[in-house]
Amino acid sequence: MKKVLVVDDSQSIRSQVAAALEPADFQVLGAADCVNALQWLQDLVDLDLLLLDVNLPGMSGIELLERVMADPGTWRIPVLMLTTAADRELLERARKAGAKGWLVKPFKSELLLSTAKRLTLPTARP
Amino acid sequence: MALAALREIFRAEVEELLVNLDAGLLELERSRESDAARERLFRAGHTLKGIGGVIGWIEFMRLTHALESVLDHLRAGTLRASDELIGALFAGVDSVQRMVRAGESSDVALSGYGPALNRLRALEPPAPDSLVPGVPSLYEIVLRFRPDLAALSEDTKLLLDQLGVMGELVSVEPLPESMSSFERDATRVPPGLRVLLRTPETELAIKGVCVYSADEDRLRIVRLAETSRDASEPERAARERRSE
Repeated sequence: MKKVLVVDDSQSIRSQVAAALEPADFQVLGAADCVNALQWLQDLVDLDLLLLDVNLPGMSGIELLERVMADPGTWRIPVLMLTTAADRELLERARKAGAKGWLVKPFKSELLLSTAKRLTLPTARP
Repeated sequence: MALAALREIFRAEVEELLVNLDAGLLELERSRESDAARERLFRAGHTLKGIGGVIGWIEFMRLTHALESVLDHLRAGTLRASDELIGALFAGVDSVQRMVRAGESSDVALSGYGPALNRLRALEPPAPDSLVPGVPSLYEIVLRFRPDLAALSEDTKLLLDQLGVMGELVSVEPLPESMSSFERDATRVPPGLRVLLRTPETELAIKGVCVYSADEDRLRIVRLAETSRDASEPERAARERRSE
């Protein structure tokens, strides 16, 4: 079972991710902010995908992404940003920092599922 | 997670956001120039729009998109906190509340929705149709796969699945310069694709799913046409560009 961590301060978004991915044999874990996310990243082994809201309270999703990419223990985890249309410049920064792509909110659950499958393919590039 | 549980979480979060919006609007009425009120309103409207996809209710998404757009203009100072603006925002908030309390299958859910949406849309400068949920545009997507992805036929299939979820795949073709090697080995993924996609999503959303397969210098996304269902003219233009 593939493990996904979704970091978003909206419980609805975290629940949408769980509802979309759990039927497809993903294990979905949630964090509402970067502090909880960093705790999960420290404790989890074999995380297959990280979904990060760009706008988070406290430390931003971009800053968390940069920390994940700088850590030898986590840099290989594919990261998908969850964003809004207003975040274009932040998305360019995320892309340069190593994010594999993004989904623009509101997004369809089917799109999230196909994206998660794609980024967790066994032969997906680091 | 069961759909009923998801709906309940969604409904509770919407109600909380609506409380914030109501409080923000009352504050704005008292103090029309308050930056704090404008920022608070935008944050709540922004989150409300963002969760619109959780249950996929198109009218809800349209209305919250319009609310957020007006709030964004208000925050940026491109709209004033006039009586009409505040009235339109209250009407929009009331309509969202009616919708979420009644539920999609209720006859009363959309009572007042049309006038509320029109009042909000009348306030803001015209937006490109591709930014309005539910109004499709035709896009030409040209991408050359990264060499390390060229052999991943499953990735290509999933990419096309993603684009198909976003709208209608009008056409999918390998890039002409890659045809000969592709035809020699039909199991190989072509190094590049040209896709015509009709979708209500924005260019930014399309780019978000394509950048995994192609760096920015290997990816081009061009909006060809707005709402016409007759794509023959832009498709002809796309063919003419290919022959140049």
